[in-house]
Amino acid sequence: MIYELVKKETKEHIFSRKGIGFLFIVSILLSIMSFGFISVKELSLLDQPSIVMTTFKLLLGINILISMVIGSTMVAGEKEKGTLESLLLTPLTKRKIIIGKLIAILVFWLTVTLISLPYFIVLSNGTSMLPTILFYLYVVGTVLVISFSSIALIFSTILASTKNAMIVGLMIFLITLVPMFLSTTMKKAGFAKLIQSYSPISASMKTMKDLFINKLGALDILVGMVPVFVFFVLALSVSLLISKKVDFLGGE
Amino acid sequence: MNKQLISLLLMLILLMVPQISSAESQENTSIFQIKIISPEQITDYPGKDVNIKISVKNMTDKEIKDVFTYITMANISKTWTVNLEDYSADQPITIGTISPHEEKIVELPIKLVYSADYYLYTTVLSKDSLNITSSHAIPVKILGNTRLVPLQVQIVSIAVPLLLLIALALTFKQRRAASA
Amino acid sequence: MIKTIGLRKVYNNDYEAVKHLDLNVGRGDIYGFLGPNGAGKTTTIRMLTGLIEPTEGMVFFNDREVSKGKQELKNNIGVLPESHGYYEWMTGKQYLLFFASLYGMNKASRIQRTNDVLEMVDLTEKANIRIHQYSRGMKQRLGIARTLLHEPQIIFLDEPTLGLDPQGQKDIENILVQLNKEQGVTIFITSHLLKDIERICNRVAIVQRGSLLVEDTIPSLLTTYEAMIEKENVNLEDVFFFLTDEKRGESKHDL
Repeated sequence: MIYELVKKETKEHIFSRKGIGFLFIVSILLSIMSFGFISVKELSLLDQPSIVMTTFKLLLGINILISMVIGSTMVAGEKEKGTLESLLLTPLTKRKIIIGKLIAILVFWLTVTLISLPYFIVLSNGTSMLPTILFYLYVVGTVLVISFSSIALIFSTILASTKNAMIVGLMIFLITLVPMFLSTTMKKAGFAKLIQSYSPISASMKTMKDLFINKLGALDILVGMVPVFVFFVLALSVSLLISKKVDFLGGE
Repeated sequence: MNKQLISLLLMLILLMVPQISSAESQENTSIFQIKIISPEQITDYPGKDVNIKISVKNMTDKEIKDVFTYITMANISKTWTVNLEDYSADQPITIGTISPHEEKIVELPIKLVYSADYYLYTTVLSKDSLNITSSHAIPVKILGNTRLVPLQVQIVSIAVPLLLLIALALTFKQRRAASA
Repeated sequence: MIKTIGLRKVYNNDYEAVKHLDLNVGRGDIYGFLGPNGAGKTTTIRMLTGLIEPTEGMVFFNDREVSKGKQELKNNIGVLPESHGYYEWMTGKQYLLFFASLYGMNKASRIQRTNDVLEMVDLTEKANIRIHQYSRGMKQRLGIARTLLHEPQIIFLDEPTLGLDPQGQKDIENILVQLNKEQGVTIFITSHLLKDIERICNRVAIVQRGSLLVEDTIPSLLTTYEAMIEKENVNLEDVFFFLTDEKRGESKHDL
């Protein structure tokens, strides 16, 4: 049953004009960046670990954004179109509906990773970075995408409108990005240090650096990823708990 | 007229002397001597850890307390300052108290990160004095490790979007056929 | 088949949509559930189908309380809500195949049953056209087809002929009568088209402001109110307006 729902969601959101359009945009951005690495003077000075890290930042940023946009429309959109009631009348439970939609977003992310692989292969040519790239892509990247998509689904469930769900979800994403805009000095103390310590985005960026530049061991990497995993568990748990609130619009 | 000129010249010379002597006295009153013992230069790849060994000497007859030292780098390739946090070199090393004319050997760690040419120098100071002393610089070259094949990058950058564009066109065509 | 005892629903804003409803829907009935706008019809259907929880009271399906057997209920009922949407990007066939899969049917059964229900609602020729190209009547027929996929014992239809032209209304009603006669499907229907309800239903309930005014077979109802209405050839419409006349300030269900 969940499989059929996942099939329907992927057909609707991924293997549709909208979905393929998103994938095309991602590929264009990756192509522009890759071209920049071989043609723009300043970028061509970068070493390959830096190139790979820069590509990862673009890929993750864009994909978290797109996944949140898709996630925001998944429940609220069905409410608006009036299709949610029919779905709730089937043997599918509310929790299974949320799980099915999350899996569909995961399928989107996995499709994106397949598209990004040729880029990573050529950009890491001659180095031994590919296993590390795959690890970061499929472990850290997947965890981040699922976390933020869960948040998008939470607001899509609570709010009646896709527009409001999208705005709130994106605001949450921007809040987690705040540490990236703070100066080094600010991050050493106070509230900024607190956000920096707990932000999953900061932790994932640090993990990236530890993997590609510092080449730290597995234990250090895992410890550094604790905020990412905690965020993942929290976001996923809340989205499954909030599934009880999945409800249609309208009354008499 | 000549006398006036000579007097003016003398006055100018007299005015200069205190400045020269104060400049000299500033140099002469540097309370530290700091020099980089090793390495003399660095040429290596990103990811490498290097220890900069320095000697810090108390040049005065008095004890100097609360002494600490740190690394500074300048990016010569881009004419930029460097955020030493990225290089894990933003933490100063506390030396503490140095006795009169005592020399202390300290190691300052730094990790090589972004490829470029740099000048690296070290600085020592005491909380009790406004006197800041820096060492000479050593050249640091963090090598670019690029084995990118531009042709490969070009092929992928064109082929992948092209394939997706074809897929997009096919969905449009499919939609139109179903609607017809 | 469906029985309610003291069914009541109060929404969060203290609005009492349904007040102590006692209904009895027999197996094989075409049961008309009538009332003015805001009478509580949609809320009642949602409680009967397990979509919302009643504030008080119980709903029994085949003598089993609905709250204790929601899964069994969903497998045995079909529902066409009043305002519902479709996945317009799908074709009619894809839509039905999707819902058939949600009822756990295997591939062969799904395809067979989809073809069967498409034939029942006369949409076989339009099965491979995208739903966004369907007329309103076709969409309603598709909705009815969806309710029949898993061969339910009872189907609930909330205003199924709303917005349809006379031919569309007739088509829907003929489908329902045929389903009831040939396959014994119990039908619970709400509608404002009293003449049509009178034609196809054997039993009706009339509600107003959440309260049940009357529940009886149509012939019995007409006989009961003929004398009171003082009119020749009393019909269901006459009975309905007599009972729900707002201008008189009170309902006339107390005999």
